[in-house]
Amino acid sequence: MNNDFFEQQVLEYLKGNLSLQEVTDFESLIANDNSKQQPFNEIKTIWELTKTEKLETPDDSLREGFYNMLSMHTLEEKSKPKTFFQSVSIFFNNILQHKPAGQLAMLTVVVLISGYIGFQLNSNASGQNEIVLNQEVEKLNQEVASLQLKSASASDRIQAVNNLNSSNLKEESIIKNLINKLLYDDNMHVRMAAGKSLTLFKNHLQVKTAILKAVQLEKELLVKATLIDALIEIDREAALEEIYRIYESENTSPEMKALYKEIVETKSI
Amino acid sequence: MNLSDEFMMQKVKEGEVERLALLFERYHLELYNFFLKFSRDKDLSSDLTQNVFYRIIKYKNSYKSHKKFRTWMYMIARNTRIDAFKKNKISFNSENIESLKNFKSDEVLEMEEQESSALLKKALSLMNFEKRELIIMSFYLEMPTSEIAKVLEISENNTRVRFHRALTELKSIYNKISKL
Repeated sequence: MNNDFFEQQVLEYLKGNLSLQEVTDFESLIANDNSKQQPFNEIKTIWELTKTEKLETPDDSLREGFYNMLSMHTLEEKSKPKTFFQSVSIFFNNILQHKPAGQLAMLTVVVLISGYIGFQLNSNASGQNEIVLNQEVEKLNQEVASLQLKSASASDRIQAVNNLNSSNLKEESIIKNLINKLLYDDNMHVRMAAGKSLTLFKNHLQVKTAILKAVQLEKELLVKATLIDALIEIDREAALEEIYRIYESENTSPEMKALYKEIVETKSI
Repeated sequence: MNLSDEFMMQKVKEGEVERLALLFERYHLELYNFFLKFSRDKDLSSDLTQNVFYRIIKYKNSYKSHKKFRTWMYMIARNTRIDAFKKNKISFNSENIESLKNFKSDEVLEMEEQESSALLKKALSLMNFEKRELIIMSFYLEMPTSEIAKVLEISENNTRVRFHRALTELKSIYNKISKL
């Protein structure tokens, strides 16, 4: 047994990865071969020393940073409609986990899907909208990332460098662009992403004003709910006032009132 | 209920990114300590750990469900470390053994109870990054050779040879500084 293999054998022994027979053989080798005892003891000593080291704990900023990042991505993911091919891919993946019954089901589904593909190819307009939407969301991400580059936190900066390919926008420009998208973009998903991204700049007065205005203008219930959520994060009191103002208005539809009621209840405000 | 790393990552890939929280809770401490072994900078290690999870989301579509999540994660961690060190121009500290003559009086004597452990830490810090990562993966992370080979994207034979060189160097440095 050469040195390389012997060292691996020692480590596997120390890790407890050997079978009973292998352990017996290995211990017998160590006991009977003097040339193996020293290298064995050296590795064992290093192994034991590494086990005495205690793991160090990071401060809370790591967890906080991770969960902030995750909430942004979760929102982005939920506002992104799945493409037809993504849905098919997930479907097949789930089916393949249940062989062989899944394979039979798959065969049936392939026939149905073939017909559906034809339909999809004839209506590529929605696909194009989706591409535009994805580009918009990506652009928003870049804009947010460009600000993170100037952040005091190195974590934000590293993250931003990864996300940002080409953007030299200043903070004011980013906010202006985000507000512009929030108020005037035709696509509800872009407006929703812009609203959520603006919460990163909650100390800017113009952000609160813009979100308040957007809440008043917004027609889509889902976006309205997201914006109210964002407003609660920025200024709880202002959000409360706004909710009651809209709730009292004669123009507010019954389903809108139901939505506000739900928000007030779930947020306990 | 399937709570395996691979199942969770597959769900993340399918769009349920919130499931990454469980993987974060499982691995952030281990990753943070992995980075600390390359740099004693706690802020940097914390940033790099978060960056690994950011990259996991960014590159989620490249994850293959039949692959072990931990191996894939350490491939990302390794690249994250290399990119960050290159960008911040953090290079291997080539401080030589002779320049450590004051090491024993300055550090080790203050930690008599943990002298050997402190010596090992010091010896590890004197190794170059490539050899150091092999020792970390083998001893601290307890990865089998096959897994290390996948992380480093080299053959198992090559991994064994490199590990032998790394271990020889570690023992040599350890012996030298313990005689100072």
